[in-house]
Amino acid sequence: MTAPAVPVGPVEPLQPLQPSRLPWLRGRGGEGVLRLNPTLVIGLSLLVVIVLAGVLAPVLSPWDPVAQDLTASLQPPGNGHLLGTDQLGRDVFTRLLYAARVDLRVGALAVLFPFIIGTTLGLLAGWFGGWFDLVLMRVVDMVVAFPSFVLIIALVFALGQGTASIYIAITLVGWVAYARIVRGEVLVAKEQEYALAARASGLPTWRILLRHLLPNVLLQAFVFAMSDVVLSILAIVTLGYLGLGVPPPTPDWGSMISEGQNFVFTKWYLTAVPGLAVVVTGLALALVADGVVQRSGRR
Amino acid sequence: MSGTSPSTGSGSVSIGSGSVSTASGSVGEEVLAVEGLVQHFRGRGSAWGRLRGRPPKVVKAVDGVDLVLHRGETLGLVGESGCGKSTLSRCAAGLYTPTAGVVRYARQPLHGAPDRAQRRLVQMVFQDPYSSLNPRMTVGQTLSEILTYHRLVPRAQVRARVGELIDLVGLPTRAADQLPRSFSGGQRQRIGIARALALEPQVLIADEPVSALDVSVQATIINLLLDLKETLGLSMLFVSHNMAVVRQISDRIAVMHDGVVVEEGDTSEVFEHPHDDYTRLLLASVPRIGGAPAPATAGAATERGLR
Repeated sequence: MTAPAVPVGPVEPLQPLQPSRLPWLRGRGGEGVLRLNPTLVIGLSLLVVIVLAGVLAPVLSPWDPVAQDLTASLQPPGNGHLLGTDQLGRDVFTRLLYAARVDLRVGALAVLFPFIIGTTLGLLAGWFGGWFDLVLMRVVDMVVAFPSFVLIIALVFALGQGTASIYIAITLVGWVAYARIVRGEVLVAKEQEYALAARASGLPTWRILLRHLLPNVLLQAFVFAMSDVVLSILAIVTLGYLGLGVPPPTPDWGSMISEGQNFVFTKWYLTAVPGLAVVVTGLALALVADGVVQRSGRR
Repeated sequence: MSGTSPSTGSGSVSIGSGSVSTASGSVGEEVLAVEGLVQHFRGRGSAWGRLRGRPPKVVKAVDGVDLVLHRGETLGLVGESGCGKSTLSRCAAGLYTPTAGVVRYARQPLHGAPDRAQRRLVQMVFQDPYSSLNPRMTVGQTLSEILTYHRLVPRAQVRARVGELIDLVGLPTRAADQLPRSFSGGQRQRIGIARALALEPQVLIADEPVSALDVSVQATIINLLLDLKETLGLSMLFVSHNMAVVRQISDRIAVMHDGVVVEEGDTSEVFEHPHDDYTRLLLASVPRIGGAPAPATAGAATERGLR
């Protein structure tokens, strides 16, 4: 055997750590845990404002969101009512704030369950393959082949009105997207050598799935979840419009739009303002998703 | 010894090496062996073909290979891309379950995947330092996960052992707190070696460990491997397509072509008196600079010169 001609070193110098000036932003890998970027900051700020508006509704407005005052119906903005009143004399601004509570909660929960179920199934299907993968993907194809809104409406109709039915219907239809996304990502990730290396180290399968694959495949599912919240709110809006949504008199943006549509030419703000609230919420979530993607260094 | 076993697959080569003496002196008993190893991958075939009942195409990555790695020995496995070297090494590492044949760790045949104790015997260094480290775990997390799961050191000493391992491969201890993305290719490969060494293996399988690295870094990683092999008393299966590198570090060489071993023997023997046509072709394909005489030595000299 030829003797090594070169000494073992020299080792290339490590990149010097660049500590954050704010110690509490410093995290593992010498990088700030939050590693904030403008997109993320704007998105999170908007989201915080919307959440605070919902949470602080009783403080921000003296009115009751459901109490009717038929003597003061369809008042124009001003005179104590920031955005006027609706046809039942309820303060529109107050209902807008309280609706944020309902819509954000329903939107988030209607995404949480499909996210968890779809991610779990996609992870298992991608890793194990075989008949489980085959059957699962055919089920996914079947659900995708239906127009999703028709399916959700049919399910809510079958299950009966109420928020619980909305969660169940959206979950039954929504999990397929997550299963597909995560399965595809797992198929790529499990061929990466770090997955092989984890197996070569003798680590058990559940540990490889949870610690090595899941963190690396979750990003795409998370990005989709952010836009899915808006889709869920739109589904609730649509259901509300059809009278299958959140039961009245609880305010939500969808029912506000559908109640205001009769007056769209004279009192345009009755529909425009809740519509704008949906748009701004969608924008905030989209910015958060973009910001997280930028932060993770993947485009 | 498996060398005396009959050939199992088509065109397999039986290795007649009853007692082995190499350039670096005599070596010990068998630590890792494959016998009649066959690994076929079934393609899915086209939908049209399946409808017509045509069997899917079978890729014969490894098609009947016998190899023995002895204690303290470095066995070089060479061959062109796609000849089955990587598949063979992954079978030997217990990552694939072979279609046929036997893999033996310390004379014990594997049944399916290696168990916890068997995993500790044989460890692998991977080819691509950019994909072989989990991008979301720090070096310390990667190493301590293995140490903790296999209970190699008491929990209180995990941190210290991680530092030792990092130090062993020539990186500063503070590397433990950094994510793989803050390292260069060569540094990542050092981390990959540290991960393999965490289990204190007897055998190291290095699958093209330097082919993804800059030429200037290749030599340092190879020397690190040789250094560790000496100090820790490892045996090594070194897979490469680089004849110059293999010649420099191997005691014995096996030449692979189309899934079978076409020639196997002591390094100097194979390089100076190649018997197989394919081996000759491989030796002749080593690039020469400045009309240097012997192909393989010229390659080695070039690499050192570039350092």
